[in-house]
Amino acid sequence: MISDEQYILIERYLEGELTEAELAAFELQVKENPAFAQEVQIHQEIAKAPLEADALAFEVLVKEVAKERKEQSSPSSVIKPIFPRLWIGVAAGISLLLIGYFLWTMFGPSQVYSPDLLYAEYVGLEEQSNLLGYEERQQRGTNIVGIDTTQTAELLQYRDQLRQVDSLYQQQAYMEAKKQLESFLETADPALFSQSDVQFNLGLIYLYLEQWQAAAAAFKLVKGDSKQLADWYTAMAFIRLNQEDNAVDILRGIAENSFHSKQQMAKELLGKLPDFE
Amino acid sequence: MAHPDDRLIEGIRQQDKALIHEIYDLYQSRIIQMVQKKGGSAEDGEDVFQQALGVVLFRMVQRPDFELTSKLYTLLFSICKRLWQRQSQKNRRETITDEMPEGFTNQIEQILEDREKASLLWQHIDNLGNDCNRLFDMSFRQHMSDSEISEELGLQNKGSIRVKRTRCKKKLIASLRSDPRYLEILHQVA
Repeated sequence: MISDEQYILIERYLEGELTEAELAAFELQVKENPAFAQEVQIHQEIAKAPLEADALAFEVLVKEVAKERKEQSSPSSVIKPIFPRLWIGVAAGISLLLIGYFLWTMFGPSQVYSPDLLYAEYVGLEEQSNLLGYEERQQRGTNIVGIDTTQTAELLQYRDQLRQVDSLYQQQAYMEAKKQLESFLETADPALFSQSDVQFNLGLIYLYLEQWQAAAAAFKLVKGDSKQLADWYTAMAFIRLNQEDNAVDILRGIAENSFHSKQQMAKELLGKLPDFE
Repeated sequence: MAHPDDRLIEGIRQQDKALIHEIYDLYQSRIIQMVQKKGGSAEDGEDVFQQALGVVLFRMVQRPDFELTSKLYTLLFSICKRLWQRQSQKNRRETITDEMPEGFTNQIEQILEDREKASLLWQHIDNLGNDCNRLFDMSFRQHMSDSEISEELGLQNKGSIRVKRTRCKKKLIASLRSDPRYLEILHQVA
């Protein structure tokens, strides 16, 4: 426990009221007396309490906002607009499964295998809803060759074009989105944007349009952060192209990669695909 | 020249709820996507976003030397990335491969330590008993002046407040000194 004199001294120090000589003696005491130094530290922490009270109040506010948003998002609004399409796919898949099961019971023990059903079950396209990967990278400046993205009219125009495609994508106007993105790729200066990200999004659009070959070709051009997911979607496209051997090759790589977000799904899917060993 | 995101920064400083909602609308889904790309779940992404905004960003923008040199999203993204790296490391899912500037990561670590200390400090304040708790609440949380506090507590002069505050502060210091968790954090930071 410190004395009243020391307590007052620390308070005066925090208020900046010490004379030069007092301050020098104070600093010496902090240096040589660990117990006193700790006492000073506790006083300093208490002095920060008003600021920290504001910070803790802000945390509570953010928690409140997060809670409100969770409560507001009813199950129907959580589901993204592309879900109905997936559900139709899943429903169609379930019908196929039932038909398959019927055939299996009627005509013997041969295993029923449905690429359409597996695709609908595993593709997970609802995870991708926009072209933000492009913007995020652009902000980091990693794809821009010495150009400040906030200041060039050309890049602002590119950004607006991609936002327009994004908006079409979110409205499920995939044909128009495809047209605009293909035209963007033809006309935009390839040094000024991430081709990889644009190809990734073009691949997604092709998947929605069921243009499997084009999707696989687009995903093959993807590099960097999005490559892992691009590999997954390439495998999905190969399943729909009935090129299961190519799909299995890719899925094996994913299944062996413990950092891949689809590792578990790849393992499951490999168990359901024909064995190409 | 004003930064385009100054409005959002000011909203954070002023604890403007509508603007916090706007920041969620603008950025949360992208952060969730980033966390998912790095092997986390959507819920992990929500938690990281909440911590980045609620704990780290607020304290950053409160600093007098804070200056936004990139887009707000870029800063938020970097904070979230770092928080997710820490989380992944904790869960032993991966080791941190750090390409971020040391000054930036140190600042985040410092903020998280400050937050831990502050949280413990307020636990002790809340346990001090009615009188002291009320005094600190008016003084620290509500930022009331000594005159306002005197009036609120029905005290005759400001001197009484000073005596009362000293008594409560000593009580708080004794309480903190008796808490090994608090002393450990102080020791780590020192």
